[in-house]
Amino acid sequence: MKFLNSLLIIFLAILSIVSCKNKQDQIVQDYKTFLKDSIIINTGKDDIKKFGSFFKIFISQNIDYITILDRKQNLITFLSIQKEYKNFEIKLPIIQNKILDYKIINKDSIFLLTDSNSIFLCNKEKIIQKYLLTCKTPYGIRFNLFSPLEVYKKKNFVFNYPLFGPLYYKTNLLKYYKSKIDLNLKIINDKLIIDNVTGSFPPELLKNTFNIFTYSRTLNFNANKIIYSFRHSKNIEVVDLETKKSKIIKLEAGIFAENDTLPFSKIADINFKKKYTVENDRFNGLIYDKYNNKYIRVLTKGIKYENDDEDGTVNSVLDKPLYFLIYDENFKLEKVIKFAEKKYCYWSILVTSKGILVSKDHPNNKEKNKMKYDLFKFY
Amino acid sequence: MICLSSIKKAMPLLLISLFAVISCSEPKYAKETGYFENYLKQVFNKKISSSKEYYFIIPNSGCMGCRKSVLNFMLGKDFNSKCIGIISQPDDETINLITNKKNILVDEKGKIDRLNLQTANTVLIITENECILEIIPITVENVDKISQYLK
Repeated sequence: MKFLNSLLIIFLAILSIVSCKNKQDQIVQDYKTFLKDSIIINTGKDDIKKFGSFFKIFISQNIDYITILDRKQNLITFLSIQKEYKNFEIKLPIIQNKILDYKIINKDSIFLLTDSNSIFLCNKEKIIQKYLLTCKTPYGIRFNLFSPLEVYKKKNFVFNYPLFGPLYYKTNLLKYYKSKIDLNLKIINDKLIIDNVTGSFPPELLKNTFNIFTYSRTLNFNANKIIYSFRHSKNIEVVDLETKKSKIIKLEAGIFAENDTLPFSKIADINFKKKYTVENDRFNGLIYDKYNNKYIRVLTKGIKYENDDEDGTVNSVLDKPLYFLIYDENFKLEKVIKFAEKKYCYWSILVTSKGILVSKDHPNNKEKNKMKYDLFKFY
Repeated sequence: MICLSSIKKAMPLLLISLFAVISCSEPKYAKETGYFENYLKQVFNKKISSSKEYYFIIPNSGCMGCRKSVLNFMLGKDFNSKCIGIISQPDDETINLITNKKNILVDEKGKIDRLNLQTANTVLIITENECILEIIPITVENVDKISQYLK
């Protein structure tokens, strides 16, 4: 009898493992199923490709453009993703302070975030209005690739909380992690007023440890929400812009293995950090697709850092297997998509009205003066 | 008199000791020397010299400030004939700056970024007698010290 009981337990255990495995296998789909088009854009210059993660999409008359701020020439380049439409540039006004970031409302209205605690509204080379942040706070406007400038309802701004980098990032990391991620500003009577500070680093980062390139954030204007995704964790933080309340949600992601935060002593060791980012699973981004009301969480799976070859080669983060986890508007996991290895660049993924663009500028495929993308429709 | 059997018994111990001595006498960067040697040969058809040389490596990653500092140093007058610069995948602007610099080599395909040589950031590799003596990370803070040392 005892033997039969044991046999039954073993049988049930095997059955549960097999059924879990099948569930996961079922949900992972091949990227080719969703591939709609391949796009090659002639940039005319190579330099602008440097900041791939900083490209922004602008849509005018149903044409999607990839826009890029060219600080050297003080202009914004508009690259059409459809061959039949021409690329063009918009010159910016000469501003004494450094332009950190931009947001295009339309071709005649562009907001520029500068390092002088101010935001400019411009019509091509003409300054329409300058908004200055004058309140007595330690805030100094800074710039961060992971928290780009966003504008909603035409007079609300969200961008990186300015304690990043120069002030605390290296000298007092604990203080940095205790601070909020984004600063929310409002224009009231032509003045910039602080409306809110949003986004909190997860508590595990407060134990005098750090994680690399800790977060990414996306805005869902349809639901008035800012969502923060953390690279080492399944958790996300959802902030309601109306009620200013936030909640932590643990997203379903069976494919992801959570990894430890790192000791503070390793902060300056770039080689160690490189190895760590290659070897561990990382959520490299969270993207809201406003056209389809879906969220895409970008995952790179950890792989071995050192290749046991004679040349002593190592893998880079771009060699890691790339996955997209697609969630509905209520953060329910719908599907997992696996991409071809060593082909795509996870740091340039753009939401367009025609679908999702994923950069193919992997070192294996790079071409000078060209940007290559594949266009996908996942739903 | 040592008999044959006692030699036989002591043989494993002798072998282990000999192996330990050989291992200890291996240079600190034996593996890295091999990787670097292969790399120089494959990419630049060059060998590690027997005389002392200083390789300043600018990989295509790492801190922007470090890259800029090391590039400025390479373009300055203290970058003497003992120094060799290697830049991975430079942009057009950098290529224009280094066009006439004979001791700055361009790694067009960025192979150095793929080597296990602690080159995630800018580094100085010191070589002598066809071996790597030291690999020193270069940061914005220590780049001046390194240039002083080279003087």
